[in-house]
Amino acid sequence: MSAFIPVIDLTRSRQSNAVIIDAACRESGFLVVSGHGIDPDLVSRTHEITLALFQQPDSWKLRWTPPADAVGLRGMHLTPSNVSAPENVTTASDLCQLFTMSRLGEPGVAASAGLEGAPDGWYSANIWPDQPTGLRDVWLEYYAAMETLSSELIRLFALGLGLGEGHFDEFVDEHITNLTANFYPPIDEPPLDDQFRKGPHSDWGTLTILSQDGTGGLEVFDRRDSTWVDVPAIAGAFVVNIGDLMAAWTNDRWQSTKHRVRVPPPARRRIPRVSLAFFHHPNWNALIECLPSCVQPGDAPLHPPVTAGAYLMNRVAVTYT
Amino acid sequence: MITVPVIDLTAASEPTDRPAVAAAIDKALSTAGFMAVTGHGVDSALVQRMFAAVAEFFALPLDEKLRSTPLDPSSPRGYSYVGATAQAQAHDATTAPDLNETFNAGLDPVPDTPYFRDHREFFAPSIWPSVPAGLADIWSQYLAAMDALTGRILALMAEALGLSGDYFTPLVDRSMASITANHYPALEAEPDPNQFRGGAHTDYGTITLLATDGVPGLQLQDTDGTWSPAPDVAGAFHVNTGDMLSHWSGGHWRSTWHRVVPPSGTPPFPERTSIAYFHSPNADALIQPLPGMPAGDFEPFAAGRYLSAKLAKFHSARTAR
Repeated sequence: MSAFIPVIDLTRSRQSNAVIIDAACRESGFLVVSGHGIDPDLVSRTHEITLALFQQPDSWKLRWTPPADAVGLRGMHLTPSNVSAPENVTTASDLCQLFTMSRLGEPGVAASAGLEGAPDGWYSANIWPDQPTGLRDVWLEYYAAMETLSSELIRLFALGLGLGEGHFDEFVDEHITNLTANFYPPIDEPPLDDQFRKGPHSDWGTLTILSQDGTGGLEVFDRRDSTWVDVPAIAGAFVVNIGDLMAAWTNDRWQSTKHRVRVPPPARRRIPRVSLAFFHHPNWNALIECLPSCVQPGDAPLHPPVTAGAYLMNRVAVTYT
Repeated sequence: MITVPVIDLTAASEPTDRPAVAAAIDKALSTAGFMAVTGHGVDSALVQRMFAAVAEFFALPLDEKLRSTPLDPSSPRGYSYVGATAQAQAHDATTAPDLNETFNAGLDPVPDTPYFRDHREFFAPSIWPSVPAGLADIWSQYLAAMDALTGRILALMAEALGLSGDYFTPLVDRSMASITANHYPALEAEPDPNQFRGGAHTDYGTITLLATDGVPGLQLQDTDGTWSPAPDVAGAFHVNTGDMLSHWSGGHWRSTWHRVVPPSGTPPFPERTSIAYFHSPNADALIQPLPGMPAGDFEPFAAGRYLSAKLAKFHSARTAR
């Protein structure tokens, strides 16, 4: 494993992990996390039930798409989308279907989640398909496990940035995180030249915790030599990468790096791929401004302040409308 | 009870009649602070096309409109959804969010000169939606028509103050003007007492040229605090004094408080659309009582500084609820 995308073991010293995280986020913005304490059985159950969900016919899956006037991501998203859209990169449509929920879509949560100022309908209820049995329970359990892991990672991030470990707590105590399953169906037709399972993009929020199956295909851009580097699928480990808001916080000391999922070689195109992406995103009203320690006195920050909610809302609208 | 005079600019093209028109403007702005301007020479077909384009945009689904939200919360440009802002907030009053959605755009393209670079906060890039396709084009035509009409009105205003007709030209030739289209959705019920279609405010700049779709709702506040309707005059623009012109006139012309409420009667109330051209001086124009105006102990300031402070308060709703 290269130093570009290091593996950290969360059972080891937090201080040394914080140092590794800082180095990784400066270079690639990606790391692989093991020793995280998440029950492997929960992870496999979530993958299995999600694969079963997506293996239903498209006609059935369409029943669980949001109404036309809905705002934001909920339930199934089957229509062709292009995750590269906000980057002003034109590629063919992603060969990907999505299923998305958020804690805010569960009954009673949004009302007390500090969403004042959000447009009506932005946080609508989750859409839970009635099959496979137990889908909601498994997903809520997995979401809760990701909340726990993300809290620890954010505290390690703070340490890595030389801050008190609780520095980010007030920005994330009502986080507006989406959990999205990506389903990459078997590919029967030859893809277009500029077509990906998921096109080049950066993530938008604090950090993403990704659980891949063994299919592979995730690549990260290495700006040192402008190449795309494979992210290995390590059984039991999560891929963690930072998003645009963490880069803005650190004034790009940490990189929100472009990544993509390429179409496999012909012999392996019939293998479907599932990944679970926990897109950690700060509170709706969290104002993301450059950390004072990340800018030289007298220099202007590289990014204007932005509220986390407005940023997510804009990115989702631009990408998925 | 405020009575808004109707001023016909047709007569101003006759040198012998100009003084009478200038005197009528002086009387209107020193009493009501508002006038209804006819004989303005703006092509009614252009106004209709502008309203039609704006209606097409506001009729889009919310998630489509959200694509045009600015990422920089301090940018006035682009789309602002219902609930995002409250006019009264710029005046330190607390109301519930206004019951309107808006789209703002300004000069486009912005010239690449030191002045426009130094004052880029007032010349933020416009955020054009993809629908309707011709919005940018019609917007710039409408902006040009409003610029031309403002030039004619400012000449009469200068004459009304005993100055030469071109007095304002060097103060406004790189104006911070922008246009905001307001859409007030239909209301099923009476709003709460502390919620308005547009909360009470004064305008910040030189003058405002307002066109409406004829649905009533604009109200003006008299010096005794009571509110009077400002009925639409067919084919006329509402023209009112902004704060900075009022200062230029040494307070002689009123920057009158106004607001937008539903029509009289019982709900449901119809939707309403208006298009406001907000003219402001050059960013570096000095605001202080003009020669011959009562000066008092007025502290001069740059127009840009004033507008910046007002806009910051207005848009702070997006960042600090």
